[in-house]
Amino acid sequence: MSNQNRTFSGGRIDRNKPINFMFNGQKYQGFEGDTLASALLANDVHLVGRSFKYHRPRGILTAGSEEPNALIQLGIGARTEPNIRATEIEIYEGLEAASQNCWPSVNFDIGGANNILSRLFPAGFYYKTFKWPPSLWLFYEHFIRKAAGLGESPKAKNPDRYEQRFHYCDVMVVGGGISGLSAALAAARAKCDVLLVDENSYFGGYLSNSEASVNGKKIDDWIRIVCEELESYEHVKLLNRTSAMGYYDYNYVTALEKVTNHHQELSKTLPRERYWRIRAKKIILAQGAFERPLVFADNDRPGIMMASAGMKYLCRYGVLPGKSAVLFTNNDHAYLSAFEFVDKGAKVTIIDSRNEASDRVKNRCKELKIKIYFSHSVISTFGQKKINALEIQKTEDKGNKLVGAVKKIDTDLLLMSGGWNPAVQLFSQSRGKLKYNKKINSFIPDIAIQDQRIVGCNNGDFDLSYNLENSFQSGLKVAKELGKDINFENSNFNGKEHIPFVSAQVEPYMIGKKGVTKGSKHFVDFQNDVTAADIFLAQREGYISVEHTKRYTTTGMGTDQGKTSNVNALSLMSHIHKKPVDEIGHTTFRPPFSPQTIGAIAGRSVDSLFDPIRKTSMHKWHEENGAIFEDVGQWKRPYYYPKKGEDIHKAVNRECKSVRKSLGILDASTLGKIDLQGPDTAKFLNMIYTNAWSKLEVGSCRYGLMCNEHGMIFDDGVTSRLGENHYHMTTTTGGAARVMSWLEEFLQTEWLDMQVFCTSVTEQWSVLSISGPNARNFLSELTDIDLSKESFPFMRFREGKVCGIDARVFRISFTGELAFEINIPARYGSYVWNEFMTHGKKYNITPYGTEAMHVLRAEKGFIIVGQDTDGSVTPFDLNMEWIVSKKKEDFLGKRSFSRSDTSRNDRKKLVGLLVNDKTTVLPEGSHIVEKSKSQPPMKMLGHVSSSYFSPTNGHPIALALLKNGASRMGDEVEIPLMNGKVIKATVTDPIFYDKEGLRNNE
Amino acid sequence: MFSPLSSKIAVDSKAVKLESVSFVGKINLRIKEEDSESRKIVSEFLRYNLPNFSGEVQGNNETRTAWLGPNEFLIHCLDAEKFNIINKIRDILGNGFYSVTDVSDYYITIRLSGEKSIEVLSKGCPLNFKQYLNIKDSCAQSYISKASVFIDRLADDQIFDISVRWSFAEYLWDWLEDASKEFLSSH
Repeated sequence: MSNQNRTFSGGRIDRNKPINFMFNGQKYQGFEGDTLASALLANDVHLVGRSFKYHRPRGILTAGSEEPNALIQLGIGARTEPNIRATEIEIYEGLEAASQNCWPSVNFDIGGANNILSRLFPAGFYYKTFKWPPSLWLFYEHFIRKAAGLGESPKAKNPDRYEQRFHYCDVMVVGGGISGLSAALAAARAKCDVLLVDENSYFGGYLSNSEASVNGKKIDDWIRIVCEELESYEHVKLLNRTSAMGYYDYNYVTALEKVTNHHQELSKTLPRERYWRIRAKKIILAQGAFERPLVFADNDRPGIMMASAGMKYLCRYGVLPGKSAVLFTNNDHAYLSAFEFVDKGAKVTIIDSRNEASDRVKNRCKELKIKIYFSHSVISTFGQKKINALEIQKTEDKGNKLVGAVKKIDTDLLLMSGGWNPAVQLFSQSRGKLKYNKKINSFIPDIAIQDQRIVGCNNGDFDLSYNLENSFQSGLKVAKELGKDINFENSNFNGKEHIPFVSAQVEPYMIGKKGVTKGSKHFVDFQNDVTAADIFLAQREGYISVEHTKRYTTTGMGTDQGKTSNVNALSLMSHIHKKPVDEIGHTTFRPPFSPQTIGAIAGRSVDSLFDPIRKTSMHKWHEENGAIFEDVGQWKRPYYYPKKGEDIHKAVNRECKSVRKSLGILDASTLGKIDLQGPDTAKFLNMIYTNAWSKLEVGSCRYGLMCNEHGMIFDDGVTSRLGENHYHMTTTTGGAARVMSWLEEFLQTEWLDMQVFCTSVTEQWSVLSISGPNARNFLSELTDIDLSKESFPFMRFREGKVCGIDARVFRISFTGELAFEINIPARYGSYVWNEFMTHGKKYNITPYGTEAMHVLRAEKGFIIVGQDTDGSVTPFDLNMEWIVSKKKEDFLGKRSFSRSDTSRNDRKKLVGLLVNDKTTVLPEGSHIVEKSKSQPPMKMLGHVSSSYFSPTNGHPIALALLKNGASRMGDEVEIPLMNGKVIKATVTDPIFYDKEGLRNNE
Repeated sequence: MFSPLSSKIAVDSKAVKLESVSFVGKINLRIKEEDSESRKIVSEFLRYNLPNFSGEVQGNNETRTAWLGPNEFLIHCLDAEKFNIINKIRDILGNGFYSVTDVSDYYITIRLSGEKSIEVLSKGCPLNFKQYLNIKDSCAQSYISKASVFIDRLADDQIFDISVRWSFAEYLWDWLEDASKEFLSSH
């Protein structure tokens, strides 16, 4: 039979639109407007999952985002998603869902043995049990994680789109219940830019499930009219299915909008979810409240649910989840559920933990022939997969003592209500301070830190008329604060609720006939299977701070963050320590408010848009010519260009040889370039670089090292003087942005009187670096610049045409060969490159990548900042005394060279290493020791910073930083490798080729 | 001439239009805030006052100048004119303290227009478009997703010229095109 629990009429579902779905392989039917929870209950499915630790059968506890039990594996394949609350899943045709944390099935779950053995698993059992031997923890952990689990993550790539959206507004209202709507309406009428978000698919909140009325109108009609008015304003945005997740400083709120995930067919272009990043001038929190469970023996069976949830299933979804119900309450308000149930044909018995109720509810009970047991408590429940009976007993001493006979009542549904907890999560995230309110026995917002207001039940106010009016006034007040011209007026909303919530007593933790520790379980935190006994245990074992109790017992640490459990845990602690709850304190709430997808946080920054790929203007040529690329920061740089059949070694050897023998070409466009102008530029360079710049002539270039204040090298490059007050600086590829910020920092914060402007021109210029003995011959055929040795010597700069394009040509060399760096406006970069490749054929022009560049420079002993240096290396460590001016009064880093540590003689120095076997290319990063031992520790003398096979020398070469390096020339050292081999090497000079530097001066 | 967007196909719909703007002259000009003399000289040369406020754009038929910072401006001009203008500014300002730099190839410009442009931008740009770029001839620097951008609003209609560093242009184009998809489909 389908929909056997559906009422004959009523509810806010569309009975003309049946929807078929699958749960645990079984076909079911619901209606449009149903959630998975309501549709399952309609089909009399109560058992939906197994609990986290004890694998106890669990049903549906609530009807909203606070659900701790009914966590579902939703969807299949790549779209499967674990731990989704059945109470929030809107059903669609073809939906497939399954219970999780159970095997082989939810009905028969092997893990249920944990429940029988539960005496072995109290809070913190794994800390105590699996400690010895410590080395086996990883082994244990595997099984513990498997046994105590949630759902399963998808194995395949997520096929959906997730969008993000920035949004600004005057007023953000969180929560579209009655109070939120009223506040939004006032702010909207006052012409504020309003954003109203609600996590439900509908607006109206809790009361939209009730028979309440406003100004004599049915509440549904009032909600519809208000929403219509709000929608009619251009400056108002209503977002349903949108949960505010995080509340950060300066009213910055993130919210997750479910755009299409309640549809069967996901759109290819519309996102599944949209992540909103909202900055609001004012925030009005109107999130309402969550009903609090009662803590009694075996309060977790399927068929036990919150009273308000029962009412929602009845009124919103037309589902009668039980025909013979018991209501267990500590407040008047929950009686409403009983009345509704009776009205729809159910039989209800009321167990009230108080000794009295209001005349209003008592009279109504009399009319409806509902039996009330005052001063009674439920002390046990029965039923394996669903509740079928319970026992009650009279209580004394505020519920702490059980007296009289035990009475057994048959039932198929237990509704419970322990009062209401205002949803203070976002308020607490915003650093607001909470205070304990004795009347409702829960925490309410106290001191706000941010520009916000809290209205309605969220503020601990439960009177409908008051909330309507007060929220409306709050809306007007924020509008006024925003400078809107308004006339204060009353909302004239008069609300009527049959039985408002007034107060709740704290006596929900009935210890049951055998006490908390024996036999039955009194669940406090349903999701994490924390019982009252666990809380007691934590206190006994000394975990008496709330933060300790939370972590030791894991109360409130589930994905629901204790929405239903925190206050009860605190009440229990208060009971144990005989201290008021205020003095117990509370834990802090952190984002997100409820679980959210990582996909939404990533947004569209996935796949090819994950991170920008920076390409030079010649990139296409490299691609077409088979370059293998290397990531250098966000840049793609050609690593090497293999010809058919070549591996990296062969290709790099060929590229290196071509440069040394004839002509190579490198795309050096990624080097950072900074244009410096102003009368004080030379003075500025004198401070930034370690060497002297005052005498650099126009048309000349100079290499410079930059040190930080600690005297450690942090970038290097060649800077050229283009004009009287005009310089062109180059930086390393990875250091470009860092150097630019460095220069600006000093100009803007330290040397304010220095007249220098810096402009990044990195991408203005494409750079073609040609290198090799034929560089001059080749270039002279394509330029009008006189390249002769005399008129264009090494370390000079000239301007002229190259392939007909205006170019800046620098005669500088990183390979040690005769070389020119040709800077061309980026738009012509690929043109000139192509021209070079065509005209260079006769010189066997060979494109070379970064690996060959590294080899060539290492042969010359040229350093790479960030490879041969690591932020702890001074120019002296690299034997570069020659570049540190002794005459300059000051420059960045100078003061640190005289520090005892930087000036000591036994620092690590750059040396060359030649392996004795002439064949092993040492792995970069290898440690150098005097004499290798069979196992660590061995005293480390330094490490290999660069290491290659040198095609020019025909054997491997390496650069290393070695303690006392300068005085160790010719010494033998050992390098133990990861594979156990020990390589012997001889310390040498770090220049392996053309020591005199003749070739680049050619 | 080659642009990183040479191979991109324009997006053309009422909701979103995306096109690559061919090279124009772009000159970065820096003059100290307090150097009113130099500002006056340049203003006379341009025949309008240099913009004075954050987000301000000034211009005439020949050039268009945007405020980038208290001492920084971006002059747009015909590509053929850029060197004349750079030389002219150097001429009239002489050896003082200023800088004038050709950045024509540094930035690639993407023109985004259409009814949904602001919605497209809002997906990745944290600016409050109710406050910034809300009128014609206003500009702002910000970022779109992971690329730094300079945005210039050309008209009362939603027409934005987005300038981005050459090496980020392809990424930004792909990002904008992807962000437009939602508004192009019949779904």
